[in-house]
Amino acid sequence: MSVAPAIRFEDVSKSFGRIRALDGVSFEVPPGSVFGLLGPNGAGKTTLFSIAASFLRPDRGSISVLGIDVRRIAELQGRFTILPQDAEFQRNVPILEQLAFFRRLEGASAEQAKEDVERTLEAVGLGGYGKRGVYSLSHGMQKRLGIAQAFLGSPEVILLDEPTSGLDPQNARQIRDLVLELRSRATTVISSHNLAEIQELCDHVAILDGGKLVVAGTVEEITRSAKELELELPRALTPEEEAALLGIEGVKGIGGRGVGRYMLTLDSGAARDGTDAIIATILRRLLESGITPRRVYEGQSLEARFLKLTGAGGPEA
Amino acid sequence: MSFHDLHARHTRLVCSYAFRHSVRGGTAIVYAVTTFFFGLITAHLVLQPVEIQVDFIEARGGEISKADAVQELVRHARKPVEWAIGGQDIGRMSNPEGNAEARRWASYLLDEKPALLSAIWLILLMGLPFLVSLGAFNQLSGDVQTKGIRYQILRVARTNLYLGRFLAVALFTAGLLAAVVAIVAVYLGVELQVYGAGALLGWSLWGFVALVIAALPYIALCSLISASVDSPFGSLTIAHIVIGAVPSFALLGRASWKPLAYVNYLLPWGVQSYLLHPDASKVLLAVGACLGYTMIFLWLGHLRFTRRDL
Repeated sequence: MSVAPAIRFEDVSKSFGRIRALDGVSFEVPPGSVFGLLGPNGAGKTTLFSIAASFLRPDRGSISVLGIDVRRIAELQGRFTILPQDAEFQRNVPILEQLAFFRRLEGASAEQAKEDVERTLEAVGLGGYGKRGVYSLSHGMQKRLGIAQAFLGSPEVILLDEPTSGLDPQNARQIRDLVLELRSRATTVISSHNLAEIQELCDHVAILDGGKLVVAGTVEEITRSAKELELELPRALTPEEEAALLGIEGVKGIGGRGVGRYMLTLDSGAARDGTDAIIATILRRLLESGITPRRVYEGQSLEARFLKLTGAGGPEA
Repeated sequence: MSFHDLHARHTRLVCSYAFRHSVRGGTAIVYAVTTFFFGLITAHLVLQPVEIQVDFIEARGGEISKADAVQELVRHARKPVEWAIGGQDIGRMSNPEGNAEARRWASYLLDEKPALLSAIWLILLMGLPFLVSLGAFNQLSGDVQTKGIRYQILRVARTNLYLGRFLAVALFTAGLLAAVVAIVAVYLGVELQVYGAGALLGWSLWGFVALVIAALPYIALCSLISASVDSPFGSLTIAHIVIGAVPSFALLGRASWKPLAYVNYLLPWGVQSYLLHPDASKVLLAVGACLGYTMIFLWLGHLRFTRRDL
């Protein structure tokens, strides 16, 4: 029996005037996953989030969250939250009151709402700021406040639209840790330009480009599908050493990616066991040459895969 | 359209939050100050001639009671009051029956009821639509513009958000009008002492109710505009233009083609003065019409707000 998806996008299309922001996007977000939504600027990520949260209405298609069509969004109150991009809080109303109001709308009593808000503010590093107005917060703090409102209560599905953009590394780390903590109790969908962050946090990704879905699946499926081996070596290979690697059965090509970095294309027809044997031979050959690889990555990094799939990194292999 | 997602607790929470924070917001302060200023200046303009007349006569060695001074003022005010109440009705001023009706109505306001209060209520009824738009123009547009409304959309159905904010402005307006009416009534009772407490209290209460009922459709109109226009400034400008253009167009247009006077009925301008009519049936009709306009504007605004992209 298959598990019902946390979110199901079905043939979602949306145009703004003559601009087609989304074109027949369909994919599913598995329950309990941390799902990354990737795409270059203007790919339609924020539009897709906005339709999922019912801020915008699709021209065609439908979205269901936890099995409920988002056109009946009222039925998802308290179960589904979002960190919207570029949304502002009321500047002159104390933070505590704004967030407590949100909690109360979700059904909490006044006392419970206050407690929840204080705990959540503490979790995002804003403890003690509850009585202040939003105007007194820096950009990064306002971002964390947005994240706090998305984490309020016990949501089952959370959409985070670029949660760490504009944050310093320390704050960004804190937010990533919070997302990792949430993994056990909520399905989280994150859109981000930071591919390393998505690769670190997410187990599933979908890549959008020009309003269309390019690919969706687990991170492993997407990065391994290219049958490539990325090597980071302490020094550059000599032409003879490169030729020796190319001579290994199952190695189809070798390309430089900077000093000491190589991308080897493997025989795409090889079975799993065969691929393991090819990798073992490559590593053995390197060690015999006195080269100890610093990093070995099977498949492409998400960044390399993303650039290829969206056409920014040359034609798809 | 339906209000199937109406949730009393949510509407109450939105209303209470919007009310509390509108009181603290800059726009609400401007609204309160302007309403007080307009209300008290109107009262001052109506009451000052009585005091000036008394002072003037006493300074010349004569003697006149405040009640007589009020009667003298009422004598001069009768024609303008007849125009004010009758001039808004199509054809009334140009036929004898209409004139008789206006005279009876003016007599009710000036002779049977405390005349000074009647004059104040009439002026406030005319200025109220413009005042109301100052407090009601930003029910939604500002939050839509800053996208702050997105924090609430997943937590509360749009219907409750829309109605809660309308109710908050209505309550805030009622509070302001109650304060203005109370100040005017107390001043009249303590300072001039020309009307009995019962008459003063009764007519003040009805004046308050009439003002609130007359304000509701304009608040609902502003809800509709605010739900449609993302810029608060744009919303305020459009509200003022619509509210001012309707009676101006009707007034000027009917000079060339009489049916253009019906334009007045696009808004409650054509019926709101009937809230002070001597006939209970006409008063009820005016109340019903004002509530009807309110429902229509609310319905249109709700339709727009629940279907639009935010």
